[in-house]
Amino acid sequence: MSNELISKKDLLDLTGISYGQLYRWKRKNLIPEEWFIRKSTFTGQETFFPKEKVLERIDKIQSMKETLSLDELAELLSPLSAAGVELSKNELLKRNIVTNKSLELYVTENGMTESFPFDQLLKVFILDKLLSSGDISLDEGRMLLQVLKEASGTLGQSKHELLLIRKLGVTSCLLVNGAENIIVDQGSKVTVRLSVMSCIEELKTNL
Amino acid sequence: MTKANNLMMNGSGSAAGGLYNKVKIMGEGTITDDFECTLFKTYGSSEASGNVKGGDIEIFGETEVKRNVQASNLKVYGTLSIGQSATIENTKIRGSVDVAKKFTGDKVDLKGSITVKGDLEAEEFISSGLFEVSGLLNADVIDVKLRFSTSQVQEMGGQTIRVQKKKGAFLPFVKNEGFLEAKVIEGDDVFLENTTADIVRGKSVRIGAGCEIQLVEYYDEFKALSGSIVKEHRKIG
Repeated sequence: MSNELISKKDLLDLTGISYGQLYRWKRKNLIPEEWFIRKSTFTGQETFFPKEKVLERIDKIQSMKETLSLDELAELLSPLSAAGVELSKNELLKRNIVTNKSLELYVTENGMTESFPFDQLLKVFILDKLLSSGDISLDEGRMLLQVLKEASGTLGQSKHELLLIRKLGVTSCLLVNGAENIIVDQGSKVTVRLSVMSCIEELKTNL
Repeated sequence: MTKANNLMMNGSGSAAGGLYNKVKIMGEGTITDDFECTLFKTYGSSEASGNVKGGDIEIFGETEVKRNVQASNLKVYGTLSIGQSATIENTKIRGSVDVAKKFTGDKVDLKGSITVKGDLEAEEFISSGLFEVSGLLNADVIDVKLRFSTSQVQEMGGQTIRVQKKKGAFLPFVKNEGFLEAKVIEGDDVFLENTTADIVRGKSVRIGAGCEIQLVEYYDEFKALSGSIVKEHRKIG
C-alpha cells in the first residue's frame, strides 16, 4: 500500500463531503483516529490522511449509508466487529486461512482448542503470516505468541505494531502502541514491522 | 436476577465495589473498586478508586473518580474529576468537571466549566460557561456563548459552529466579556465573535466583532464584519 498522503482540503474537494460529515464520521469511528495525521505547514497546521485508505473508506461509507445507519456502519467497519466469529480447526484449514504448520505450533504453545474465537484466530493469523513469508523461524514464532498472549484482550484496540529486532542472531519481539519512528543501534536490524490493525483487516476479508 | 442493594453512606465510610441499585453518599465516602449502579448521588465528598458505570450520576459536592466514568445522565453542581475517560450521553455541568483523557457524549450543556485533556466529542455542545480542551472539540452543533474569562481549544470541528459574545449576567456595569482562543476551527457554517484563531476553514464563514484571525479559507461565502481583524482570506475549491 502506498504511503501517499492527502490533505483534508484536497480530500473534501475530491470526495465532495463536508466538514460536518467528516467530523461526524470521525466521531462515529468510521474514520479511525490514526488516519488523522497532523502536520505543520507554512500556513499553519494541516491534517493529512493516508490517501488510498481514506478514499476507499469514504467510498464505502457513501455507498452504504443509504441503506445503513451510521451506527450500523460503525459496527460493520470497526476492527472488533468480527469478534463474534468462531471457527473450528478444520474450517480454518479447509478455507486456507492459516497453514497447518502454524496451527500446530499455536496448539502446542497454547493447548488444544476445538474452535478459535476471533482474538485467538488473529494470533494464529499473524503467526502464520510471518512464518509463511519466511520472516521468522519457529523459535521466534514461539516468542511472538508469548508476546501476543501478554497483550491478550487489548490486542487490536489501538494502533498496535509488532516489531522484531535481531542483533547478532538474537531476536527480540516487541509490541508497541503508537510509535512513529523507531531508531535502533547499528548492529541491530528491524526484521519485521507489522501493524496489527492491517492484519485484522486482512483477516476479516479472508473470513 | 435478584435486585441489587442500595448503598447509603452517612457520615464517613468506605465500601467495596460491585453492583448496586442506588448509591448515595452524604458526608464522606470511598468506594474502593469498580462499581455499577442505577443512581449515584454525592452530597459531600466521595472518591471512587475504580471505574464507575451508572444510569444517573448527580454530584452536589465533590467527587473524584480515579478511572473511567460511563453514564446515561450526568449532572454536576459541584466538582467532578475523572482520572481517565468519560462516556456520557447527557451531561449538564453547572459546577466544574475535569477529564484527564477523552470525553465522549451526546449532548453537553455547559454553564460551569469543563477541562478535557484529550478530545471532546459530542453531537451537541452548548456552552455559556468556560471550557478548555487540549485536543479536538468535535460536535455536530457547537453553540458557544462567551460570558466570562477565556476558553481555550486546540481544534474545533463540526457542522455548525456559532461563537457569540455575551455580557456576564452579574456585574452589568463592568466590561467582563468572554473570549475564545483556538488554533484551528473548521465547520460548514461558521460564525465567530471574540475569537482568536490561526486558521478558520469553512463553507460559509462569518467573522464578527472582536475576532483576530490569521487566515480564513472558505468555499462559498466569507464575510468580515466591522470590528474584526482577518489578516488573510482566500477562496478555495
